[in-house]
Amino acid sequence: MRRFLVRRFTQAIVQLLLVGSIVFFLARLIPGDPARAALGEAATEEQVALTRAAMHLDEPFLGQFFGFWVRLLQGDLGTSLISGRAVMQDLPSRLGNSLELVLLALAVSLVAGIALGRVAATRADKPSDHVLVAGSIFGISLPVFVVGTLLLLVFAVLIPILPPRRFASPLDDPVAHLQILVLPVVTLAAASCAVITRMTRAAMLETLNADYVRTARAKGLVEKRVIKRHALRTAMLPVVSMTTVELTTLIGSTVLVETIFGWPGMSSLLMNAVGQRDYPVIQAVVLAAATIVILVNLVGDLVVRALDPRAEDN
Amino acid sequence: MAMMSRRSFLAGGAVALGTTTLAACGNPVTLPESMEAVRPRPGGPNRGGALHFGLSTDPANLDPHVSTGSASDYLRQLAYNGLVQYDGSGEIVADLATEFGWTDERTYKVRLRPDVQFHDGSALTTDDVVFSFRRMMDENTAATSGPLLDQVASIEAVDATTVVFTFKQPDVAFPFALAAPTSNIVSRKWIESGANTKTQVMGTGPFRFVERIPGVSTTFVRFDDYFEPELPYLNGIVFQPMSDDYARVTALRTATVDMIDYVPATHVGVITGNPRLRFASDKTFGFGFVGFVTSRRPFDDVRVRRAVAMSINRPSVLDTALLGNGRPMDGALMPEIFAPYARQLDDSTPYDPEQAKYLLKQAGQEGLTLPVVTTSSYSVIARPAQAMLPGLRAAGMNVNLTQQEWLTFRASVAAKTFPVHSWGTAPKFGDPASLRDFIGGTGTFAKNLDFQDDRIDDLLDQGRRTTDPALRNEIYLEAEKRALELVPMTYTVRREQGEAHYRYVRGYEHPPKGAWTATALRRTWMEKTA
Amino acid sequence: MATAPESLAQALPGTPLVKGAGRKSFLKRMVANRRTSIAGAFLLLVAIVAMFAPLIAPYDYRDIVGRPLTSGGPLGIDDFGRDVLSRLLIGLRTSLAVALSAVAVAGVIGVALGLVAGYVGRWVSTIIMRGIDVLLSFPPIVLAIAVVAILGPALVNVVLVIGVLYIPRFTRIVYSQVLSIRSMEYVEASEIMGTKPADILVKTILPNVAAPIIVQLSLSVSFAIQMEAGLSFLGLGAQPPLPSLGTMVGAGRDFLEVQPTLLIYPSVLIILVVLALNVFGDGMRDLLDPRHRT
Repeated sequence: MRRFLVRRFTQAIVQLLLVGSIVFFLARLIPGDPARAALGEAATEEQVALTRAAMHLDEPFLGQFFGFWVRLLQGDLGTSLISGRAVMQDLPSRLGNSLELVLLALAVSLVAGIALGRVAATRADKPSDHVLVAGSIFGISLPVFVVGTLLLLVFAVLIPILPPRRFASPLDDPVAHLQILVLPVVTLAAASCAVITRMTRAAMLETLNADYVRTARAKGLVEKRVIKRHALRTAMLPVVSMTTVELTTLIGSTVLVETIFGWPGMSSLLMNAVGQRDYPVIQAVVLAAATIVILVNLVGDLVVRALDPRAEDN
Repeated sequence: MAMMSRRSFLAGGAVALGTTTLAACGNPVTLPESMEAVRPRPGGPNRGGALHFGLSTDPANLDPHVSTGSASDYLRQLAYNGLVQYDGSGEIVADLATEFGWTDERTYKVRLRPDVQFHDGSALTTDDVVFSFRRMMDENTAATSGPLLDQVASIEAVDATTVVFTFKQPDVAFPFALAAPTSNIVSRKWIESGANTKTQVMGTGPFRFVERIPGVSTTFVRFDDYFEPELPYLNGIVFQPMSDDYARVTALRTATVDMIDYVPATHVGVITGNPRLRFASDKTFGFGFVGFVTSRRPFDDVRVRRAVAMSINRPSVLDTALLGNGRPMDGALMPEIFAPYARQLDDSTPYDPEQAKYLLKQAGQEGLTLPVVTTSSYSVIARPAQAMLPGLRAAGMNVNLTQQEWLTFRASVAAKTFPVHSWGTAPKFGDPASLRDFIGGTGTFAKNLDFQDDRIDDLLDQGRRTTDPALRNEIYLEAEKRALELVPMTYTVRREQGEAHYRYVRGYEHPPKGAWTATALRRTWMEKTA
Repeated sequence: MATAPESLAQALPGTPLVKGAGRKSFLKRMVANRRTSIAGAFLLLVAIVAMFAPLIAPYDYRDIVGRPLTSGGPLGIDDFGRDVLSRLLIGLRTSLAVALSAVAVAGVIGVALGLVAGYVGRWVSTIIMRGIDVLLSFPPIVLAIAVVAILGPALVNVVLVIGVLYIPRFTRIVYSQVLSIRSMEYVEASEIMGTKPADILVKTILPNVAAPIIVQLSLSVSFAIQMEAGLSFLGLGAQPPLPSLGTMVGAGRDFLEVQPTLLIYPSVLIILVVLALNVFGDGMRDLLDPRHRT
């Protein structure tokens, strides 16, 4: 187990190095630059060049690149080229706000999705199964921004029972905070809940027919016990690996959700930074997101190992 | 039950993580409850309250002299003052000045208000004024007002309260340069102390800058020692960037914010149909245009450019792209409200696809393929670009429209990657002298087109130094006429642009001329809170 | 599926895939499953409609045919004065073309990588799976914006971006499935019998991981339709005036209260297509899976 962890941590660091390097170059390959963003339409090319120099963007590429890593290793994520704020000043709170949204949405979709998927699988081809399958397809088919827009229109504008409010910190006003969380979390959870329902259903149907489950049945085990001990357990394997994928999807979807609901999260920080080519912020947010995803995958792998002794030899 | 516990472990872990992150949340600046309260005053403007403003862009630069668009000017004008300003009707009135005007053709004199304080407590001096204008005139500042000050020969403080500008030649446009939202007076001491002007704000204005959290909020609070004793009425203004049109309008409709800027044409109906909301707008400034890189074949042939101009069905573009909220532009670039000649140029560019086909045939460009770039970031730019396509096709042209994100688009336009671009902007100020940006050889937009015409440059120079209104009118009429003949760009529609707010927000005005300005926010007050 | 007879013979480990011999033909069994055949017929219809959309459409999807936002024509007129039905047909064609090609890219590459990683193991799997992790750990929107901005917003590039972004979905699932069946008796048996690894991968392992792949395929097509919509939302997808179902939904959002059908029609079409894909996918899985044959 310890060897496994050591190896995974080494891999994680290599991965972060790769992600950081790729994003460093990718961000700079996007046409348009932060100097132009800071100067407006009227600036001449000479003035843009001057501002670029003031931002140290005219320095040799490799120097910038190594400078970025050296500072990062010293714990310095850099300073925004646009707002002049240290990235560390904004990143933690924004990351926290996004994670709150994502983890709540994941929790909701896992609990609901596994329960519904199990119901659907054990009642395969019965009316309740059909309703669940149809419902999950509905959830999968609608683009996030449509779900969000419809929820906002219905529950905030037409029947204002959940009016969007100004952002309230959970410490100042926990009730208001929870209230404003409802619509974004539901919007975010809708699609992943549907996916997890479907995955659970499919994987359980699969294992219910698997040989060892049949053997278990043949041995005369009670159906309920078969489901719990064998089917659900094995069915969890793809669900767990799906969950890690789903989590990254959720992190991706927060872009639209944060935009629609004005949520002060990481994605709005990132989108703002991309729009202004604010390289240090782009790099920091992408690295932070990558770290989270890598951690999630690590935990996912640990869970898979715990669930499936056969995976241990890897 | 083993499985159950593992599953609840997963869910529980997620929830546990969720709660630990809660504690780590640092969040947008919220004003204390006491500041939000409005203190009613019978008969007069109420005091107190905080205005929540949904802003279309998160300004990239807070420098007092560099504008990145009208949204950034909103912020600038709260914390800084110019020497003069536009009032609610668009007339130029005093700001930091008490008296101002020409003493002769080449001398402009400004007398300052006494007892003006900066937010740091220091007093405003004429030295600060001189410093501010020299900073604007310095190329390295990249000041938005810089090009407007190119006729200023010198600026001197003649005594403790008087500043005198002398000119290389008479400059009729100078008062507009003084009133521009980017011609602000800064503290010399503050700037020379090495302040980061892009991110810090320190002026004489009615509101003090508190903090900008990128993409979340920019907060201003009342400056208690503002030189106009009654102002401002509000305790604070919180700007929240909301770049998505739908999100911004919804935030207003649900009273998450009290006011928004840049009401999208597609939502004007929803807003004007709501009796609790007011739409304050103009049809003067904002307009769309299609620009041609005039050095690129086949757009170096004026017949091809004119053919494109004649294939744009402007009434149809207005009807579809802007749902009728605006006016078609088939003549002058300048609107008649400040360009008396404008009406004489009406119908200069009629919709005539048959004539366009004929012109293309003459130029040997039948069935021309038109690569056009536009930006998807702003619906007021993207929608007209899409709406003009049927007309162009009717003239046998094949259009390849490419939508790019804003900065990519601007890079493409500056690098002339596409021979044609469809853009939208506004004259910098309400006078034909602002034509220079579009058709003058050194103009911001003309440079993207490789366009320079000696005759037009000559006329624009004449116009700027001619004081006789009738003569100016003739000069600019000729300049515009020539631009319509040479077609470096063709204008499409003037859009209705404005802000929307609840009726309990009082005292806000959107000037119909002058310039896009938000100085009215300095005088805004609230009847009640939402 | 659950209705399969639970005879002891079939419950024995290593029931291999056997072809022919006394079984009904594939087609016959498919027709016998009413739900699958209805979904299949619908998809066939959709495919034909999409293929011949320009011929079926009553108007040119780019032409102004009436007053904007009115009810003229079969399904109304959009905000640019164009015929909604014609645009729906062309939009369907665009969305299907983008989604199917993107998923094909993702599926082929993703499954191949997953099979190899899972079966070969060792450093090969480390490289592949860590590469997948790097890909997964990128916020997709950044990758999409960057790549499309660099390559230009052509539909081919959109297909590429979506395809690459969806590779992990397939690789992950196939990998974990391969891991869980690699040690099963019938695979080990094949190995002992000296079958070539490639044959084992394709003939023994692939059919046994087919079920989740098929589910994932049908899911991915719907996600790809949405991803294209999201990219169009940022100006990176289908360029106007060419519509896709996603761009139509996005554009319809602005007119939700004026003419809700602009959002409803493309949404319903997306849902129907996805529904059919899923039902068909389920049916195919049941039919293909060796253990479900009767």
